[in-house]
Amino acid sequence: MTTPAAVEAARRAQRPVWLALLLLVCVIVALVVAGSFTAWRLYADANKRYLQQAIPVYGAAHDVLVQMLNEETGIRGYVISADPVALEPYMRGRRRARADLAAIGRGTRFDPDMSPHLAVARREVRRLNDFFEQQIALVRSGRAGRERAQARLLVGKTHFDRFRAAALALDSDASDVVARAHADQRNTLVAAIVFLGFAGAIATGIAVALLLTVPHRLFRLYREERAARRAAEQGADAARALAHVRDAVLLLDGESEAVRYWNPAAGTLFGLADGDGHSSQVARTLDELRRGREQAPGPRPVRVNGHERWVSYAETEFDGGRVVVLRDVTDDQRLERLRADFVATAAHELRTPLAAVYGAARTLRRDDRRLSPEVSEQFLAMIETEAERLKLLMDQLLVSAQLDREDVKLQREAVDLGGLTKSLVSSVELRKPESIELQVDCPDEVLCVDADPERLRQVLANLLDNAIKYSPDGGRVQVRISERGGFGVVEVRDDGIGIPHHEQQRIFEKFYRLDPSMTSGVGGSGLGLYISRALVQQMGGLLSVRSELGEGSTFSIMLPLSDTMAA
Amino acid sequence: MNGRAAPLCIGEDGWPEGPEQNRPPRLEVVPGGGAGKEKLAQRSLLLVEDDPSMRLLCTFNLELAGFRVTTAGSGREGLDAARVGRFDLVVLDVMLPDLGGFEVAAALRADEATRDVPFVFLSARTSSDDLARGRAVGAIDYVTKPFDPVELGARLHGDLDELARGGADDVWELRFGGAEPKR
Repeated sequence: MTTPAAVEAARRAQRPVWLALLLLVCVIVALVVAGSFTAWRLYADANKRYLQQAIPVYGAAHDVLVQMLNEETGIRGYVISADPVALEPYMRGRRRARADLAAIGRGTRFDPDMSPHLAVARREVRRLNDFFEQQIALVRSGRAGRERAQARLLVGKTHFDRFRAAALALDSDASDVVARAHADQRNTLVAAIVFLGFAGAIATGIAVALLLTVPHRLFRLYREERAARRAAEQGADAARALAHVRDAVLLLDGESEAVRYWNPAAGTLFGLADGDGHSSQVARTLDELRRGREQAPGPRPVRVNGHERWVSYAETEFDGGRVVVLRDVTDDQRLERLRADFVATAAHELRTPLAAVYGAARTLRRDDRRLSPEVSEQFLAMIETEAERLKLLMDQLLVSAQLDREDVKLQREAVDLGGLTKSLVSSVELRKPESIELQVDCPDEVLCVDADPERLRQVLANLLDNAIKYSPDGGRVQVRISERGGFGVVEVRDDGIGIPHHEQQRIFEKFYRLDPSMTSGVGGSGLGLYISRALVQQMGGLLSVRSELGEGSTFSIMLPLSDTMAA
Repeated sequence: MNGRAAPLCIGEDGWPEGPEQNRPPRLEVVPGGGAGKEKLAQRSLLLVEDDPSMRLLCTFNLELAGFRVTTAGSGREGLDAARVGRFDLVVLDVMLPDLGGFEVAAALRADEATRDVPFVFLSARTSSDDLARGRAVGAIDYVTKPFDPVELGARLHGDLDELARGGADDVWELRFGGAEPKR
């Protein structure tokens, strides 16, 4: 079933699937790679943007401590020296510290975790600044104030330490936020990459699995489909062949004997229509044939739908059923019977003259009696006549066989119809019974027909013999020659009782007799008219009969006029 | 189709003469039916045969065998002759122009006057079916053509002798070995 071409076709069929699946794997890998790259880019961008926001806060948190330190240093210098120039760093630091706190405030909007420490830092800055303002006011109030301010320097240090702690906490917050954001984004990146990788791996796995199984499976399916199609085609071919088989073919179920399939010939034989799987006619016939086969092989007669058919029977059993083949040999059987009848009839026809010859010879040789010369002469004449009859019969049988084989060679020449008829009639005249009158009616001019003279003479002699044989005593046989429409016509008419209409064509059949059982009838082979008609037809002419019961019969030979006549 | 009638042949001694005449007396059984028997021992025979040659042959030889032979050329003629005359035996051809031998036999059987006349078929039809049919219609013997006419008389005498001793079945048994006729 699997030819190299089929395998090649299946391979070709699975190639596009291979390519499609490979493409799918590539697309999945590309998606995973692109997704990973995008995730990494998103991570990097987010980091940059976060740092852009976080770094000023981080810087400002550092700077505010530096500026406050500058303020404190400036105030301490001023308290000691009372030089207003010494206030310069203080004033600058205070401005910058305020700006730093504002920057931190702006920058921590995105991270509320920093707000508590920012508020503490702001409060400490405010307290420290309030303390610094008081110191400046004391120094400006005079000497006593200046000394009191110097005495409060330690108090300032305490304030500053508290502020430093708050500022450091804020700084630490900023560091924490940056670190945490960095970690979060890295985790997101890792999660995205892991997810993409995982999804990509699953998709790739599926694609690879498909790649490994689908083409193979497709190859198998394709092969199976082709095999199924071929099986279906073969089934269809088988059905087509069976439809044109002359034999009746039936497929029987192994158990129920129901007819699962029948071909048209079987349908015709049994008259089966759709749904006739359980035909009692089929079951009965098969039963009859099976029983018959046990008695004797060979075709058997069965009654099918009221008709007798000769059927030969063959049955083949297989796993799950039976195939029955019936051949309708009714026609063969009929031919065979005709053939057997022919032999029997031929033998029978030969027996009568043979019996006469044999009987006459035995009588002539009787040893108990001396026969008179007259009697001896009578029996010798009988031997001669009957031997001639035998010869005629043999000739007829041979010609009949030749006609069957289409093996009759005919000469064609211009034959003088009147001359031939007259010479034949004069010879018949000698042997016909005296009680029968023979008349010939012939035109003066010569009529030449295209024919084989010897065969035409045989045909005419046969018609004359029949006419004489079937004429009653005192009857008259008339022979008339005429011309009709380019044909020469010879008519032989007798006064016999005539032939019934329904028999008028059948008398030309081989061995046909009016009485098929041959229990009666004038002697004859039953071949004369059959041969006569066949010969006349081969000469291009026509032999026909006109007859009415009680009014005699007229047989007519029509033969085409020869060219010499036409010219 | 009609057959050409042959004139009814009457035996040389002019018999039969009329219906009132009884069957000729049969004084003794003539075994073998040899020629030259006394006139009283002659058996009368009706031969129904359409073929002139066969008619001549049979008549000649049967008369030499001591039969008084009457001939008929067709079935109807034969039937008429059988009804008019009284015969010891009727010899029937099967194929006859108008009425077949089997039909003639059946008609003989059906007629009160001819019911008891034994008959024999003489035919070119030789199949077992034909023989069986002959036996079925009541023939005591069935002679198939070709036959030896010189021996025919002896055979027919033998048939009649056997018939006188036993019955038609015995004659059939003698001729055909008791084979059951097949139909």
